[in-house]
Amino acid sequence: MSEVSFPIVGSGQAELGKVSCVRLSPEHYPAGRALVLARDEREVERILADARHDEPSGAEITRPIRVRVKPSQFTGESFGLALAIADKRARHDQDIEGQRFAIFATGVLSADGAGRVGAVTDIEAKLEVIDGTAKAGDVVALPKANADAAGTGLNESLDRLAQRGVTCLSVEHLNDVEALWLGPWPPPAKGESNDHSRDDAEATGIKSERTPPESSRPGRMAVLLALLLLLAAPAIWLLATQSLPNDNRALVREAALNVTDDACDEAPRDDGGARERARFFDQPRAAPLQIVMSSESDYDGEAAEAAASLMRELRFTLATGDGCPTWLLDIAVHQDGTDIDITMTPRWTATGKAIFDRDWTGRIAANARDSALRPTVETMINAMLRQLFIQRTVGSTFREEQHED
Amino acid sequence: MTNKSGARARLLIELLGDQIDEGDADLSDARIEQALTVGPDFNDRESRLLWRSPEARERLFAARDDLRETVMTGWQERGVEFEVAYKAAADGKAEPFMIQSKDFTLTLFPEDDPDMPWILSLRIKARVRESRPASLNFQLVDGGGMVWITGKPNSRGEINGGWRHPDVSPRERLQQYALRLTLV
Repeated sequence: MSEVSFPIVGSGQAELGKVSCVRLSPEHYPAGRALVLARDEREVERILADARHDEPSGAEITRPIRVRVKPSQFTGESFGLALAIADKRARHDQDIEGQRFAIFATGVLSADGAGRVGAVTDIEAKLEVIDGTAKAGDVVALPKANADAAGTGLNESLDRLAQRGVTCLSVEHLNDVEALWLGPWPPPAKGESNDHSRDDAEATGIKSERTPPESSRPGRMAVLLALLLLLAAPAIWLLATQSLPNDNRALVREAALNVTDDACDEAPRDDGGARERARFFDQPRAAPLQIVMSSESDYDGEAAEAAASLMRELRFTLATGDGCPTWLLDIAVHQDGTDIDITMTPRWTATGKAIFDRDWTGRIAANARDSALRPTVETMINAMLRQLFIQRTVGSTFREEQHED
Repeated sequence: MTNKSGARARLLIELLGDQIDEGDADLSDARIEQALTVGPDFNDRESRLLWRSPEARERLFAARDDLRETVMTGWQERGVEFEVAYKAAADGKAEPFMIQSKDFTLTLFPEDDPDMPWILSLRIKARVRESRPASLNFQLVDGGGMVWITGKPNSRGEINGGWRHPDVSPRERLQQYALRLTLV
């Protein structure tokens, strides 16, 4: 079991809550999913999806888990960082029996899926709560945004913790603390390995374990994946050209077989649902497609506003695949002179593996209105669907099946 | 007057005030049926009426019983398997196990927590889920009348909860009783 404590402060409360995660067997619970026991199941699922979106495909991401958040009643989102760490440690086998250190965390996980850790309110009171329990060897993770703006009270708490041998980590992005789930923890001391570096924040009593992206495990996996894609490209191209137009779901089907999400109620347990998924994708239906708006935008004119509005609206479903993998796409809007470039980029997600290997781009005039933007984005989506060999025009799908947030 | 009794008095005055305001309110049988099935739910005024009128409450409960009866009769006619017996060893190991009917699956996961020694995950098939009127909850109850889990399914058709009977284990209950899915 992986446990991470989080402080709850406010409305007369000042206590430690606890997030615990346990890996479940795919025999007993659908792969890639979380059985959630908490005050707000949807909020927990949202945080998990955001925390996992950057993870490479692999066994870890598909492992089902049980999540429990105690107490059942409290308000606020500052348990997000604790939840993300507990989830990742459980799925990466870091929930080692007899673990000798406790983890405390507070931080809001941003809802844009980028893995950023935002500031919490009442940080000093929260740290006081942790201070009352943390022992030597324990780990405290708090938002860098709070640490950077630390006042005297916070610095005193951090100093006290550091003097007691508690490691305090300031976290800007989840990757900053990936050693907690990728291990080993505690990391090798400086000099034994150059995998980790400490920043200069030690002067404030805060130590930050930062792992350079290029040396991280996800980074290595991405390079490996890119190499594999390069080697497999001729075969994929051959398959694709031979598949058109009769077997237009072949690629989706192949991708679906690799996604260990439980596609429907009847999925058999003995093979993790793969056989049933194959049947499912042979039927005339496809996976739901969710599009999210990237926060990356350097233009705040009318068109960018319209783009944001359109992206919110573009939460549409291609077919009736309830429970199927969800693919997320970033839409970035950048101004380039008198034009606005729109880029649509597929992402890795919590529940599925994006099968795209390219971006799609569109361009409209900087003074364009919504009426010009929509067809551009629709054209981009159509291009994406052509890669998926789904012979449906997004224009009609989009109008028929879009739904309100 | 203590603070507590003062607060009670204020609450009573507010409630009485509401009663006077709502003197002419009415709640038809058709409106009750609408609220129980397709909605919209009772508004504040109707809710207040239900609180203060035993007659209105009686009609609400009767309508709800009728609705439940109608839905469950429909289950029987469509061959929904809403009852299942499972013979488990009472002293079985503390490991997950599943109880399956054609229309629902209950999975039990052991927990290292004396207050909640098991976690229950009830997964209900779509044809049964879709028959549930919005105002009713699913409930899994055993033949001895012990409630195992109650609630509305989440987006994946599951109801998750804890085992709240520390004096007896699910395996022991299963030795004696079958499980029945019902609506409450």
